[in-house]
Amino acid sequence: MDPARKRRVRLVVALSAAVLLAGALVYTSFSASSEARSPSQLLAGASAGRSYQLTGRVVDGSIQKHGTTYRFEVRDRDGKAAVPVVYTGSVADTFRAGREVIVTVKREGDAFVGEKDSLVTKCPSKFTESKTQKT
Amino acid sequence: MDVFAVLLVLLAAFAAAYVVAGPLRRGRFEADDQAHQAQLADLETAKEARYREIREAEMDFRTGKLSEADWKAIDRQLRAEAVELLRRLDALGAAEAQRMRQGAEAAAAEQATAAGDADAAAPPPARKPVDVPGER
Amino acid sequence: MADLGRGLTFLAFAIAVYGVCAGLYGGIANRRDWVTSARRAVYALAGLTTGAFIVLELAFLRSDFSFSVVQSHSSTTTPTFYKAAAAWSSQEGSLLLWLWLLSLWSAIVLFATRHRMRDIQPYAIAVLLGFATFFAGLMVFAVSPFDTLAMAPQEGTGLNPLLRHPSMMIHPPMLYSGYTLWAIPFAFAVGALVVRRVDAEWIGATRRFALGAWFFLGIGIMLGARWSYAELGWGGYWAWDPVENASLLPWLTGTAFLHSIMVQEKRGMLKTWNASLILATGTLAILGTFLVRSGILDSIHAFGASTLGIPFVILIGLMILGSVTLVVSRRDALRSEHKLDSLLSREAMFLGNNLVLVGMAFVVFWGTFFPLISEALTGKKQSLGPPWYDNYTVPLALALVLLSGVGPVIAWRRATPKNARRNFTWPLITGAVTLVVLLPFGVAGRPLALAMFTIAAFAIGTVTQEFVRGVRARRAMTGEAPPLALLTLIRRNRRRYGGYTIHLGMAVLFIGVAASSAFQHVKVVQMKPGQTQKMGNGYAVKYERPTSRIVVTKQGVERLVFGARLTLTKDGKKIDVLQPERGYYPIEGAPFAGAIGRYFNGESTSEIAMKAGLGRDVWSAVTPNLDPTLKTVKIGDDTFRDAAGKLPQAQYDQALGTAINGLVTSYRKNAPPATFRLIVSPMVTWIWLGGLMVFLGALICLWPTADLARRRATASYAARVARELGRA
Repeated sequence: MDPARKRRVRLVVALSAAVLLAGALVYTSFSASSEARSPSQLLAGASAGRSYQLTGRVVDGSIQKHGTTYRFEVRDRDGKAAVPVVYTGSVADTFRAGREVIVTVKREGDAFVGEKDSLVTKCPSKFTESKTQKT
Repeated sequence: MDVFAVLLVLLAAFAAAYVVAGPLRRGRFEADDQAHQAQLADLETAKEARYREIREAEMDFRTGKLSEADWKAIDRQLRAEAVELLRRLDALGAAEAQRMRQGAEAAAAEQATAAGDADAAAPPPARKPVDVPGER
Repeated sequence: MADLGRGLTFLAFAIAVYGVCAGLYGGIANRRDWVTSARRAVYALAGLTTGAFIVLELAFLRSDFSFSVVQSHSSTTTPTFYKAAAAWSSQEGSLLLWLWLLSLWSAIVLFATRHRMRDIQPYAIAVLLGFATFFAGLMVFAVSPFDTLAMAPQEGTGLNPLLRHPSMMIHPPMLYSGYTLWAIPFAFAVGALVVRRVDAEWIGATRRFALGAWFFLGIGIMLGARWSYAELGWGGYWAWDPVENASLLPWLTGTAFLHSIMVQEKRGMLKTWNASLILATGTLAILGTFLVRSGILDSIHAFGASTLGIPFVILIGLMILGSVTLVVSRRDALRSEHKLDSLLSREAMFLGNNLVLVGMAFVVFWGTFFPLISEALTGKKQSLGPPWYDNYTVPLALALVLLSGVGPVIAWRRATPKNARRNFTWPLITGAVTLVVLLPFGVAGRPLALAMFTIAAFAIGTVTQEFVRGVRARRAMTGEAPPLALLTLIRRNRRRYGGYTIHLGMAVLFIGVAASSAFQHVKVVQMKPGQTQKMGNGYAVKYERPTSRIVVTKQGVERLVFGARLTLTKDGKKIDVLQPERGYYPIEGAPFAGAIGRYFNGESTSEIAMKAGLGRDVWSAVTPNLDPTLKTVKIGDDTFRDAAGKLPQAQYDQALGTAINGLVTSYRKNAPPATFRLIVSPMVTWIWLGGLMVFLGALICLWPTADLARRRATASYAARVARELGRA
């Protein structure tokens, strides 16, 4: 095979591999992802057994601890609709009432069960526009 | 308004303007012969790179990555490239020297015609000390 | 003072605008005086931003609460070191830090290269000052660090205690240095493309700029991972959070660039690829800066809707558009001089490395922006978690380490196949032996981790073989003793052996990552004093007793600390005592918080207790159960609120002190069961050690070769003398 043809073959192989990888990537990302929803969106309609990424604020006074399991409610950033969550797993130091959290949940009956170690609590006072009154 | 602050800011403004206007006031208007300098720099750097490659090829041979035959072939190729670069560098230098000589001769000829034939034989005027202000 | 800061920032903006115009004019009209003036503008900018930064720092150190940022990010009780660092914990202060670092690095680099690349300089200066104009403009017209409050309050809100850790305070300056340093090769690339000179001189300079940026960005990323592991209460070092990914993206493409630029240097190939890569890296660095403060992605770091979103998007859009236009319009200057000779060449290995790294960057980019992409395509915001990232990055990482093991054995241009095969013998044996030795340890259950151990061992084998053979070759030539031969070998082949050291470090790092991810034992348990928890591999943790103390500094009570004393044993033998704690910082400047309650309802941070070792780390964190204590606190708050007006201040304070003391002591005597997070993680230390090796290798590569610098200067002076003589 002359060098030019060899090079063209190599290019085709490389491009095909790249396209395959990109295709696999794109395909799996749609099936492996969990939809991000706010509490009101979640309450509006959540299929049992599907994972959702719930984002919202922890409702004041709703945090209860039973052993290593936490029960708390997550409400819309600016709203009242609240979702009850049952969660076992790592909890950040910053987790407390009023904080913004992200947690992956699955509906089981009437409750939403949080996936282990999926609770992310946002750092509170960095780069916000409004001044927080508490801290 | 904090008077002290205003004064400091004005001071800073003047200092900055002074620093920035310096080269403009000195009026170095000549267009840079960038083409020559750029070529020179590129050839120099490329030459250094070739030298490095020649040394690395030898390292590759001594650490057993290349057979002697392969090394000799690559070494020959690299040395040829380096020689070519040196030749181009010399040519560049020679061309530049030629240009300057012609420029100086033309300038001298102008002076001679302006001052009259009698002065053509007179020694050239004392050269001013070359003022090479530091580039900053 | 704030007026001074505002004035200096405005001057910085003005001089940046001037410099852009002066640089462009000097470049287009070929007027060196204007270019020099533009360069001077960069020096002046560095001076002005230094002044502004000093003003801000002084305000923090003096606790000048008339400054709005000082009031919201510091307090009189914040320790001095953290007061200084609080300057960049705010949006405005961090922008000033970014501008200051940009101007500082630009001034240094432009001064050092003032005699070189004269045709490229005007445009490079214009681009760098263009960035400065943007950031200074943001501070002058949108978010100024020098905003003042009408009435200066007595006390500030305080620095978030989470940020009170040395790593966390050095992490932003390091990261920002990394980001701003990528602006420099970006600027020089733009300049080189404008004047159509992407040749040897540009390559040499850009490679060094990129190496410097890569070095600092890498340190910043490592520090972030270390902070996350050693300070935060989850015991992990990487979460594929959008902000972590944002800093990783330019690092990945930058690493690819550092390799492929060498191919361009040697063979004049990949010019278009390299130009695109370095322009993309600069753009990704700005994108990273933007992501942290934008709020467009859900992340642990990004917050709130920021007013800065639109300007940044415009800047990034301009950078992308400009880059594409430049590369396309200059494609004639970017034509390859040669083609790939053979697949069995180091050039081909580097190309492979580039494909893997860019592939990784694409995966990380896709995953990070997927919520926005899916929302645009399907209307629903979908997000991807760590398992998805791991699915792709792990195989790619395996390929990368494999290439780093194969590459060094293959010669440049064209390797001799027989020799190459022979050279793989020892490394392959190392890999195989590692595989065989590890199998009985029950590692086979984690095939990916096992694959990484084997491949990393192979790569380490290759690099070791290179050092050994190099020393041997040197000794054959000069007869030096081995240690001296090693030193001179490295000194005379900095790029190669620096690079090998970096690869060695990366292999060690990946071994640590594989081991600590695949073989971690995590237990979250509630324990009473006296209980023991088994951790697997013979480790056991016993909760001896609760602990508590009050930390008092010159400025008063800094925090209340509640914790536990744990005994760590292995196979029954006592190894160490671990004392994880949780610190509770009082709420500052909030008169409505209860007198005692403010000590319990503020921020709390975990103080991790860890026994680190080469073999494994045992990591512990505690969450004490303060519910019974809080009930008493509530009663106390009510009591003290009633007593507030009725007692003289001294008595009130004393009573308050006694009450708090009593509460803290009673926890020690009678604590309800506390929740513990216990982790036994193998070989985490290898990650930090690997990182150190990588940085050592980078330093070796960065160290300038004395003779080359001198020779270069001599050449240019000789040329200049020739010119001046001709002119006089």
